[in-house]
Amino acid sequence: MDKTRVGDAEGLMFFNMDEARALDAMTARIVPSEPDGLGAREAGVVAYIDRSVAGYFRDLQGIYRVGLQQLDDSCRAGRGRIFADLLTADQDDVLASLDRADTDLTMPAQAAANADGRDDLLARFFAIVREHTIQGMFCDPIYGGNRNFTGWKLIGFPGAQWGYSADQMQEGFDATTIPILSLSDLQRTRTGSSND
Amino acid sequence: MTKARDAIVVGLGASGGIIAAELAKSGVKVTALEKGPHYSQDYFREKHDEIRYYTRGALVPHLSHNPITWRERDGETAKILPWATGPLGTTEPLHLPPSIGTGGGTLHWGGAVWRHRKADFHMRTSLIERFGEAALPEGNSIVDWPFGYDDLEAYYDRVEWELGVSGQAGNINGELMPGGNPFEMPRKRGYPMPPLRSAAANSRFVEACRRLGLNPFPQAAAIASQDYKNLKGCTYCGFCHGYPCHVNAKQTSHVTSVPDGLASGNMEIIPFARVVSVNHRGGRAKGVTYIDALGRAQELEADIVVLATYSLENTRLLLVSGLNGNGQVGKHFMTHCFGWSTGVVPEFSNTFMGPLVGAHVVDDYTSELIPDNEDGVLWGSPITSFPGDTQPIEASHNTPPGMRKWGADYKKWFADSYRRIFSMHTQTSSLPYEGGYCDLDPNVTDPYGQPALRMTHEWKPHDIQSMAFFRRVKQNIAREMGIKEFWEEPSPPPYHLSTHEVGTHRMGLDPKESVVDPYGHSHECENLYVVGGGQFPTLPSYNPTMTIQALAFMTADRIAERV
Ligand SMILES: Cc1cc2nc3c(=O)[nH]c(=O)nc-3n(C[C@H](O)[C@H](O)[C@H](O)COP(=O)(O)OP(=O)(O)OC[C@H]3O[C@@H](n4cnc5c(N)ncnc54)[C@H](O)[C@@H]3O)c2cc1C
Ligand code: SF4
Repeated sequence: MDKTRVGDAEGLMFFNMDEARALDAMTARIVPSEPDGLGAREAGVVAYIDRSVAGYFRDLQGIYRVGLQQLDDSCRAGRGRIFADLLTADQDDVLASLDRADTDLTMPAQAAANADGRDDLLARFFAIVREHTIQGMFCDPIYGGNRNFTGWKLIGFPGAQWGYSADQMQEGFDATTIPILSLSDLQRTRTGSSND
Repeated sequence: MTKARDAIVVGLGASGGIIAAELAKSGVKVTALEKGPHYSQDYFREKHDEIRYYTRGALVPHLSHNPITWRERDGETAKILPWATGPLGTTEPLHLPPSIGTGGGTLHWGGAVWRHRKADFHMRTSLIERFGEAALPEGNSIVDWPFGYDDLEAYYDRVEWELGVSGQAGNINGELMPGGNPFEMPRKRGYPMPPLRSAAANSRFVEACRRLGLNPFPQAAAIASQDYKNLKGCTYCGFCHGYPCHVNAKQTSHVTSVPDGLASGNMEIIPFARVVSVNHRGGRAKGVTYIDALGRAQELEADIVVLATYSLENTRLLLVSGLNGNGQVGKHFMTHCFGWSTGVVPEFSNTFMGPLVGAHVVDDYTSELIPDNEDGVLWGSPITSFPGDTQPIEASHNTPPGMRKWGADYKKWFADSYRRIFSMHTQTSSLPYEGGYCDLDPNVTDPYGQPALRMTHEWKPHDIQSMAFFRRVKQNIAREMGIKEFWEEPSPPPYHLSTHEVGTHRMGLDPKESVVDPYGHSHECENLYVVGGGQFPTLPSYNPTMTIQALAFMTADRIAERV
């Protein structure tokens, strides 16, 4: 993949380029770009995760570092290549093997990073990445993800609206006709009510 | 040691906001101590942020500083609330105590408001009359309230008209009103504002319910449908439940009550003041100790102390202050057992518009109206539609069972379905019983060295049977609505904190059997008031806050007369 896309113009705060590449490959399987070009890559999910893990989720720095390392180790051992270099079908297989209903998500991050057994750790790591991918898809763009409203376009959500009118609240109304707004639009304009 | 003025009110949420303001307006000099920030009325103009308020729970007390533990039953080691901790980095704002800061839980509540039913005030008598004493579950401590609906009617009216509620009356002085709840308790007058608008799928719910012979009516809401007093009309932005309101349509004590209290000149607020104990001597409250914004312990004296810190923290503060003479503090824990069901409707209904409470409810099976049934359900629940107010990340968690939550199929499903998601929920009353209680955790302390509160609670057969009964009712409605795909969140719920925790400082007339009197006045400690849902002797299946607010007005009146 194109390395420049991973960190984009803002660059990366926490991940190094190899880590970012592995994470990019993972998130691109969680929300693929096909068929409409509205996937995790286009949304800049890696940038969202990078900023979050550098700041708010700093408790998760350990599990991200160890998780990405172990993922590549186990792919190299089992399939002869690091995760990002596998075919997408193989990547899906690897992730499917980590997606377990019985993953103990209540274990604190710290304990998870020290836990014995790489399978457990990787399963937890995958659950975290999945969650953060969703956040990076559908967050307000001020967080670095959902670039160009990729995630919101995908699902037809108009974003940070001041309000909705009675007509817009009728069954069958196509909300994609409402121009999408970000929180930064509201912050800039501090509009009054837009729906009456 | 500093002398406060006449009264200290601890916590400026639903109850404390009212009491502090009412006292100040009646001439009592009040110092309010609030654990969180003091928010001005227009603080939240740009709050449309799901990451901040939902996934990161910016308003709620985080467990790292405010640990609470839970275990299912005696003998187990309690863990820090497992449903709200974990590596996902999601703070589940719905399953932690309500928000902190001026406004408390009313900052980000849904605003579903109810007058409790007459029978809710004497559940024990009503159950025994209908089913016989033997039908009451083993180990229960169900009791009647020390007063009835008629005693509280004027206070309910005050909440509706002084603070502002939108709704459609169903029964005015015994006369049924078209479009309202035919099962409503008689009221003296209607609501000050008409009902809110609903997101689109609600009309399918209404029509389906009518076809099934049920009686849907608009949910009464603590949200202004038009400008009213300090409130502005709702704009239906849809970032509502779990979010503060950007236009002050939501009835929040930092908008409705606190500004009026401050305007009286008799009220001061100390924000970031975390009360750690009630100080008392010889059976009288002397004041409180709190940790200030800089981490220093401060003592404050006053003639009257009001604890309004939410049922759970009230309970913890009583216990750490050594106020549990009769052993009743922490007993009789109750919470709602929520049954959320979700489906996908055939047309765009735009799940993200409007407030949670722009919705209809069916009361045909509520509380004592529950029909005779083979599931053994003694006390029913309203069934509430949830057509809007659902943000993308929240929705992404709620997928049909068995669906893989990633990859191409998931993406397609979510892209096709998000705008058509519709939910319904029930909230059955859990019953008070011996094994359901709160005490101090012997192992876990907060960063200030105080013990955490420990909840011991398990879902009982009655909870599970109730969920089964209502699952069938909801499935019928969903089918009638044209919903093909319909599923229920895990039942009973994995969480035991629904934000409707009540009962743990029970009110009653007998000082041996209860903690406070009907005014929240402590039996054990003169001049100490402990208010909120903790006072409830039983938990009706309706949301608790309007009754908490009505009780708060009652307490304020009582104190004002005395001072
Ligand atoms: C997401 C959500 C939605 C809800 N929706 C509804 C609804 O639709 N309908 C309904 O009826 N109820 C709803 N509730 C419940 C409602 O918020 C509570 O019932 C209500 O707020 C309880 O009122 P209270 O006065 O007892 O406590 P709170 O309103 O929680 O106020 C307690 C205050 O005390 C402060 N405090 C706590 N500890 C300390 C301390 N040690 N020192 C100083 N200050 C302290 C807190 O900061 C807070 O301001 C909802 C709750 C949540 C979380
Ligand atoms: S839906 Fe209405 S009450 Fe709720 S936050 Fe938006 S404007 Fe405020």
